[in-house]
Amino acid sequence: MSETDLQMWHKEDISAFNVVLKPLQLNDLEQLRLWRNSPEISSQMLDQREISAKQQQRWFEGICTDPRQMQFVIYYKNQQVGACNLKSSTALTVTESDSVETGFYLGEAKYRGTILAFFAALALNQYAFEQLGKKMLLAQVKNTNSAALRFNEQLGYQPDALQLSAEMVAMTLVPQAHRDAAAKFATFIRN
Amino acid sequence: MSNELIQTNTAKLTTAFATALVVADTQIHDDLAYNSIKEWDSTAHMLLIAELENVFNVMLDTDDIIDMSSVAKAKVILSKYGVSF
Repeated sequence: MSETDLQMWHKEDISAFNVVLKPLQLNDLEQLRLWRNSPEISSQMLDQREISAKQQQRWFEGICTDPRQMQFVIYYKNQQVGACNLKSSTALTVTESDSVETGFYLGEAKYRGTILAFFAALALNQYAFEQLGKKMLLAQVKNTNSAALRFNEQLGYQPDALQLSAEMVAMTLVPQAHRDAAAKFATFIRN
Repeated sequence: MSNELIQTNTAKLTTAFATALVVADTQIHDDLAYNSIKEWDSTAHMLLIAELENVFNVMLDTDDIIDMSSVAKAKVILSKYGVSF
């Protein structure tokens, strides 16, 4: 496969909540790698090893045609600000599975911890529920990452009753809880 | 702009923050920042924006909502909408 052929299998831009989620492209990889290797982001990941440009390229080659995941770059006012994804946790594809895992981070430091983080997450969750028809969204958060745990709770996620990992907190979001959370933020969708 | 009006706006701002964050007026100072106290979380932030818009009769742009990260910053932003401090 030539470099020009390397594109995510999903093509649709998602425009909602003042942000646009665009399918990851080859020319986004270096920015993502810089964010992913930054201490602020990598410290919240399970795998904290430095990622080389070559590894990043190989990763993209491996996932861009994988129907079990969708990878997006988050844009605010035409600027890349972060990344998010939807992944099937089973053998089923993202579109086939009733539930998918969500992943999310804001790379641009000035936006971390702001309401923009909620806008981006709400856009992803809304797409998963309303366009893809998912019945549940799942998230795994390091139990030391209290900001992310609070963030997910504000989005309507609830910690699962049964926790299988000592290090990670499994959380689930259902459509009604998402709609309730989205309604709280809707007043602030402007421009 | 009269000093009296500026003082009134400062008092209104302090009350708006105290109301939205559910903290004492005495806790409201220029250096108070978003997420620096447990009371100023994302939910309180939304209540705060609504309170400030109501009290000062303005509608803030998304950029300004995102940017409102401290009491001092709130004063700077509201100044753009004609509110003097």
